[in-house]
Amino acid sequence: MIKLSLFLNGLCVLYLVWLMKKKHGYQQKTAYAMTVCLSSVIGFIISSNLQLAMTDKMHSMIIVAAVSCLLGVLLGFIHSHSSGMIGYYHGLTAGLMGAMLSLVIYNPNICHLPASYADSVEQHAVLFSLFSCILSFITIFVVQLVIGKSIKV
Amino acid sequence: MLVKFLGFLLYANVMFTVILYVYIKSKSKLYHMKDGGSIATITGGFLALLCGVILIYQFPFHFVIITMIATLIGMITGASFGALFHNEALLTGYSHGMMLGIMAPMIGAAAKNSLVFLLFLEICFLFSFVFVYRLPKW
Repeated sequence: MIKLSLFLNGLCVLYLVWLMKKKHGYQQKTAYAMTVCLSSVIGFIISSNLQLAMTDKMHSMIIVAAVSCLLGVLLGFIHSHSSGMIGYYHGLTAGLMGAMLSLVIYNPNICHLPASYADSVEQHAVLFSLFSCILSFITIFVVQLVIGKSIKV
Repeated sequence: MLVKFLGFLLYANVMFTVILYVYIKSKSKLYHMKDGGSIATITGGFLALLCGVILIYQFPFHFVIITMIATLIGMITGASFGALFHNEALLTGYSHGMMLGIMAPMIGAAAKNSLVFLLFLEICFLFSFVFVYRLPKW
């Protein structure tokens, strides 16, 4: 389920990149806001799913943060260099946060959660990956709405 | 003792936010358009943070579901406040509300049901609303 969710989220990222490359004509400040929003949301979603998928690997957090950074830069550089910089920062932040959340889901003792919570770790991981899919669909909807409003006629 | 007034606190926070939304909507001409991003960030973020902390205090066994609820509350609040101004504010409020909503249950769980911490957050929340209310007069 986590891998399926990762695949769906990857498709969502590809669709968003295609959408932003296809539609030009919005202002610089809209591009900035879109980069901040997309690099945060996409970075968080991809990093949390990746961390859930490879939680027992060594240095998984570094890989996850690097992937999230790259996604932020990719989404930012569609518009301009400064947007790329903003995307890099927000991608890194969101990637670290997503990795942290996944680690807490797998090891609830980090946040002093009750011990009985540890019995249903797998169930929570699947639930969370489903939620991340829904989050990426909502984000696509919001971005399409904003692009549709911002394009100059 | 803490459990008794958590529900009331959550209700009061949501009602404060709704009242602020109605106020800003009716007086939107007083606010500059450039303030929209800040207002959306501060309101969405703080409501998500408080909802997450209060809910994890009340239901410590439902970490993932509370994370989802807090995230959705933050996203909807930030986007609603931002939509009163412009598209950039909508996106800013949406992303910041989501981030705070994700962090909030973790913060609440690490705080170990501390009443002082919750009161501190409430004071910060009320100060933020005073800032937003006073913004056109500055």
